[in-house]
Amino acid sequence: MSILAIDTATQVSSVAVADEGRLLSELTMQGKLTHSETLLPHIEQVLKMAAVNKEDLTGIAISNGPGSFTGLRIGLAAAKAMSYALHIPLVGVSTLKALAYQLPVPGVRLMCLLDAQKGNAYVESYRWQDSLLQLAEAVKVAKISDIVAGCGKLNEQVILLGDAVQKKIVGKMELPENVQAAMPHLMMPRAAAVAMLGLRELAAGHTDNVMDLEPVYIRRSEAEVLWEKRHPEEAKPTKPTEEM
Amino acid sequence: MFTCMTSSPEETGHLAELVGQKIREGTVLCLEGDLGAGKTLFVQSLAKTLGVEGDVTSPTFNLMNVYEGICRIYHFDLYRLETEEELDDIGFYEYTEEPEGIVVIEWPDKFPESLPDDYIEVRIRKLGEDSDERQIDFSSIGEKNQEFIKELEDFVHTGH
Repeated sequence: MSILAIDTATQVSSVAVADEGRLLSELTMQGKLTHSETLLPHIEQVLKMAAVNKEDLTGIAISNGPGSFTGLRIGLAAAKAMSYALHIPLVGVSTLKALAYQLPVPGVRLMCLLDAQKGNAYVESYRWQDSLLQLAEAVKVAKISDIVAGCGKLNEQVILLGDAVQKKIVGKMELPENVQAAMPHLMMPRAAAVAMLGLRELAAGHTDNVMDLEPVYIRRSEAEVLWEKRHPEEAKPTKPTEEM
Repeated sequence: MFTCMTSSPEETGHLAELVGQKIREGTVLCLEGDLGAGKTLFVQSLAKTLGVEGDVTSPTFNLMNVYEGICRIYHFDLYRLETEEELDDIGFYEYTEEPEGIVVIEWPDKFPESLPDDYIEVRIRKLGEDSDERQIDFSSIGEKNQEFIKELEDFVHTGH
């Protein structure tokens, strides 16, 4: 049982082929080329390196966000097309969870931050307990500066992961004493982690429908947007005034 | 801020050429002006100066064009968008925050709150209904391009 895994949720383009016990091949890069140019040639390459024919794949795992809108759609389109054409199951894996899966360290809070633009991040945190990855706080959108300050108030060691850490935190913000950024090679998403999570999901019989699997886009709720409209003095307006 | 006057499309095009010779990678340029003011002409001339060989037209319906020149040029047209959420849908902020290459935005005034902190504003005004005369104002919004706008002013006025 070999599966293909794809992560294009950030500026990192990562593809991997893996079976239950082994990572057979992986290609991970963060360069200037866009995913639309690199993804398909890279998929061809990792299959070749792993000596796996695409017809022999038994599933596809896709990192489905949150993350870059364009990146997610490119990855998902490729994953869906292959799943459909090869008649193999597709499973979506949380990009945030896959990040935490890269660092199996008990006793620390893993804080995963993916860039949501305008100084915000999608943030979700995890802990490893009894060799299992446990969700500590579910995903929300928050100001990056608030997230970092919040980490400083936690009564535990915190490790920061994700592209927002690379882009907006390292070298740009002072970190509280109990908080540190993960090393660069562990900080960004990798398809290997998506593959391992995907294999477990598929083995448990969890699959997603190729026709309706969507990227996870987390937006501010209608209520928040409306509240800000009604209280412009308390919130920086995010919409032009000529609307409505 | 500085102002240039042009009296023909050729002169407006030439001005854009000068901007193209000076502009730096990582710059966002917001282009304001009514229909027919010469925004598209400005972008065409700018893109050509930056080594773009193919056609350059405003992406009114496809929302964003990407051109390959000496660097990549991302050309947005926000005219058709109605809500700020649609900017998320097209990945607008992924291109305009810490931009790679050069980003040109037409109709930026539709979403003033969504523009990046630093950009160069180019405002083209028609002087009279059927006139070819244009007043073109250049200004720097934010800190980053202050120095550049002074350099540009010297360059367009003195040629060096």
